[in-house]
Amino acid sequence: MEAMSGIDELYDPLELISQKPNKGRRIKSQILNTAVPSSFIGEAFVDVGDHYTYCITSKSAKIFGDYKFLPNSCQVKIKMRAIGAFNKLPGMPKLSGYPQINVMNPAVMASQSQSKVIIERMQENEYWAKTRDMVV
Amino acid sequence: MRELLDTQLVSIGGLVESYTLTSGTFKAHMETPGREDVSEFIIGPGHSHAKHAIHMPQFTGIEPNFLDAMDYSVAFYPRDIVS
Repeated sequence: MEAMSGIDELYDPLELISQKPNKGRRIKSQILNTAVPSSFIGEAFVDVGDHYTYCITSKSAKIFGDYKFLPNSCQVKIKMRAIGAFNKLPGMPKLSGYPQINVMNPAVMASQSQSKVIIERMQENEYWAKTRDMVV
Repeated sequence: MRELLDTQLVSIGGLVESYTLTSGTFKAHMETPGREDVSEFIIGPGHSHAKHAIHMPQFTGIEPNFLDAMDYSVAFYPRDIVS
């Protein structure tokens, strides 16, 4: 499915963001195919096959191009697709059908190669790119 | 690490059906002294961040053959057992 998950779309196709910063900005990324706990059903999406959003944030405002995102908002927004929802899976205690797991750091699984996409998207911000360089 | 583990896969004559390198969280990927922490959350379309976000998910990067290996060697299906 990974080969068919590429997206190349306008960030703000309806031009709803006022003053049209970064007009025409395109997002070239991937939809991440994930296996999730079935407790997400009805909470993050309606049923398997649906999309949901994975957000990365921080305590300070972050700038991407001409967009400035508020602290603790969805600063990097990744489109995810639920391709499977498990009640339980051996070796994965954080995958559960019980809704209580949603407040106990539930597990989300995706392929290694797709996981890299999130790090790449974060590095579009200079501060995070420098942080990543220091980590690696 | 991956180059080392790949040599042990059953598909190329090794002993291991599959392996998973867990990623944990992206917070862990970006953690270094003196730099600001990141956090992560999951949210459904149209939901309010304040009320519906699922915080600090444990993101796990799995190998391509991980689910197949689960099927063959770990998971079982009681419905499939006839006697």
